[in-house]
Amino acid sequence: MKLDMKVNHLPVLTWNKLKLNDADVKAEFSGELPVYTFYASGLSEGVEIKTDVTADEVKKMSEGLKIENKREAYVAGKYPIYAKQQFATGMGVEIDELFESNNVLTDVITVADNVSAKEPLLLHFSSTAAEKDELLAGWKTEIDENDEDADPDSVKSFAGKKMEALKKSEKPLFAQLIVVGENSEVTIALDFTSDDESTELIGISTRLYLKKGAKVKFVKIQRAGNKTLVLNDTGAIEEEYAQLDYAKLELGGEKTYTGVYSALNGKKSIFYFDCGFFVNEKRILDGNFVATQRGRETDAKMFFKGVLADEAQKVFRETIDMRLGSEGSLGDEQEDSLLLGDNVINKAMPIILCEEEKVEARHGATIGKISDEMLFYMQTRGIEKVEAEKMIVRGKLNDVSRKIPDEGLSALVRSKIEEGFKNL
Amino acid sequence: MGEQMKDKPIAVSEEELNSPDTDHSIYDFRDDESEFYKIQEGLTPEIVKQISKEKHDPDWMLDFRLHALEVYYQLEVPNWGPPIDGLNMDKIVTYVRPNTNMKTDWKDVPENIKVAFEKLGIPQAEREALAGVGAQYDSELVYHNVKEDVAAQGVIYTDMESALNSEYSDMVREYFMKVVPVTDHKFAALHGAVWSGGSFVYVPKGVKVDIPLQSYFRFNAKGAGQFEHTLIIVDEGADLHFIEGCSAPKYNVASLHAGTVELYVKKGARLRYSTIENWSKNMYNLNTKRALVEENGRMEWVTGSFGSHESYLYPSTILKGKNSHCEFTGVTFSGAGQNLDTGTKIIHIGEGTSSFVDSKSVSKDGGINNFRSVIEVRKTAKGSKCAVNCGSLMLDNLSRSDTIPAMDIRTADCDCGHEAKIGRISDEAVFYLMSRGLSESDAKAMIVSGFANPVSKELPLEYAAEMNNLIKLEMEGM
Repeated sequence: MKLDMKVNHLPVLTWNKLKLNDADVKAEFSGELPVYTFYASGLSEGVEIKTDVTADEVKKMSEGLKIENKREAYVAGKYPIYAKQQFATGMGVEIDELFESNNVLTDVITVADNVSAKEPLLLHFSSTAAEKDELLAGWKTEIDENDEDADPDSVKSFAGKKMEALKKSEKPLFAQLIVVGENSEVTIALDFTSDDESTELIGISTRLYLKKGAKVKFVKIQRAGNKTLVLNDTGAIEEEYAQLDYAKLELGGEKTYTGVYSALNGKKSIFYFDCGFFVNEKRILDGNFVATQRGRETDAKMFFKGVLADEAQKVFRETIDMRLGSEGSLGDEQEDSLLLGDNVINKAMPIILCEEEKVEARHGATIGKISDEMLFYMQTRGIEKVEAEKMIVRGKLNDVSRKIPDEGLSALVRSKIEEGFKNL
Repeated sequence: MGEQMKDKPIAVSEEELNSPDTDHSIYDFRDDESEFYKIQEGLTPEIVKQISKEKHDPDWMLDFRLHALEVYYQLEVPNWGPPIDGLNMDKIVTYVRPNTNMKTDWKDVPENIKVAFEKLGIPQAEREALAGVGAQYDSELVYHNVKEDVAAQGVIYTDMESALNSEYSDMVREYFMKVVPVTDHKFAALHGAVWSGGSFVYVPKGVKVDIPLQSYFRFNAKGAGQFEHTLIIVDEGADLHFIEGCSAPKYNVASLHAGTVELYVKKGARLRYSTIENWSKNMYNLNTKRALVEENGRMEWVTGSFGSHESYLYPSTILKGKNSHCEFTGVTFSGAGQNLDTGTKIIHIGEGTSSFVDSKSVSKDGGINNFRSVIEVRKTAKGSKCAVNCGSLMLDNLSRSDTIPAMDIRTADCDCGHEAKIGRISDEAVFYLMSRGLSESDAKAMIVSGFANPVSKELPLEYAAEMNNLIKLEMEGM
């Protein structure tokens, strides 16, 4: 599998010398990496998972759902779009083309109308050899209650939950379409891992369609090994009164390219996005995040909090796009990046595009080291510099990780964060 | 690029030109140029050689111009920013010389040109508030003078042509188009090929010029370009405030302004560079301004942009020396038919450098405002601090306002902050003022003037008054 593509296109071009208009992805992989998908058993009523849906079926489904392509030929009515997508995502059409050329099938998760799902839906994608072996020691991860000799310890669990195998994929590329019915509420978490020594790639493309009044808490955790190439893409459409609370953690990957595009098409729709990141050693994180507000009185907040250490590099493009017709809307994007290494490279572009008078949009970014005053304060309390740095990092990422709906998964995330402290 | 620029028509619509909300009549007068010398339109090596000959360039400058032209042919028009399809270089006259040489007494300036500058208040300003004035009309300076007591301090303020052919020629050659090289972008190369006019300023070590110097650029010719070059060197410990102003009558064909300003702020020196830009709405304003600041130096930009059809304008500062500092305060007003892409670039190289940006913009009647910036903190810039604050007012649904800032930070030992806000005039604030007897239009004008106050308070009183007057003109009809 050869990758030679540009992703994460900035909605509005700027000086070419800055090298921020897009990201180049060039790599070669065998593409042969079996990945196992597990889900926490006990799906709530009204929640269904259908695996391996073909592209044609997805297209028919989209037409049936009347997911209209509201993405115009121009960004903000003015700047030509690089390439139009039927359902826009943050990384762009190149990811769709990669998946199409590799015949990737889609897992469709549907939540019926008027469902209040009690249990979060947790999906775990594992190409970690040790972990999957454990999880696969028997596909059956339930014990027969009538079997007196059954060993309770043979029930494999993940993150404290009993996991059931959903499918095995031969290629590490995954597509999900999540459709949440009218006035339904559901929490969904996706979690990705890979071996620390794996030099392969993982590609995840998730699309969420929230019908009128739907409320979704969505968590996407990327805990890939530090030599993996990660492509992590999301697109979302919120109809009238829908609300998407999206918490995302980027903790692994040698090079991670990630994108989120939220189209607030419906009146009073809401998109709250929290992105936490911890990039260290010589790792690279490149992201493109766009909230396009078309409906009246929509509310979009995008908060980015994280840490760069050692010789890490990060590029974040963050765009609030207020379209004509979004009267009464609010848009807010804030970045708080802590720099812990003298050789880090941190690039940020917090963009606001606005063609509607009666809106309020703002952005802010704070970038720098731990203040001397804060370090002094902690040292006067007996906390040494390295421990102080760890505490502050944990605190920053905790703002996002507290949204993980499962304590067991939270523990695994904390463990991944602690691994990142090895060079401090 | 050449093809792209040649095939598109020159286009500024009558409607855009005559939008009812802007009365530029105090600037919108035209003088007869039938006796002026005009080079043929277009851009060729022969035209560049002719310009060089008209200007009595030294040999090195002719070679420089021809090299710049070669670079111009190689570079592309930017693929970002406002479209400049309506600019056709084949139709631009790059050199227009009025029928006078430069004078040092207004009495000696030809009547029609003198009247033009009197209408603009330049001689009066010189008498009342300035240490020296350079007045440029189309491609050449028609008047240049500096007060005796300022000259006695060793301050040099002269036109570029004189500087090139004088005892300062070596200094000019040392600094000319070094901080803005011709390879910087296509219109820097164009400037390098056809530049004419502009001022050379040198302030000796330790000299504080208490009263500002000013250059004023008046553009009169139809379908022409103005390419003045301003070169200012403020030596160690010196202090200068330099003001530039500009205006032009409106035509229904495109005009081009591609001037260049190069500023050198030496160790411990301070330079404030203020601009009130009021080009007419057929002007493509593709100007380049850059400052290089040494240790403990201080650079202050104060900018008010009100005119032009389309602008690319990003005053830039390179904070090379330790503890050097830059402040940028600007307001941009964009109305019907205008697409103004303005902002700033600041590069932190030295340790302990600091910068502060305060930018405001107002968009109405379909005007487009883009704030575009980059703050770069290099690895060597330990202990640096930077803060960017931009506010945008949208006055209707016809307009747009985009904020496109970038930060490139390469050391952990720095503190950088950026914030921006876009919104509209609060209905409550307008109601409050109207309940005190103001009309809606006056209430909005007052609020907008207050919004732009951070810029106007940095200007000398006369210029603040001019800026407020321009705001008032733009707000009429709201």
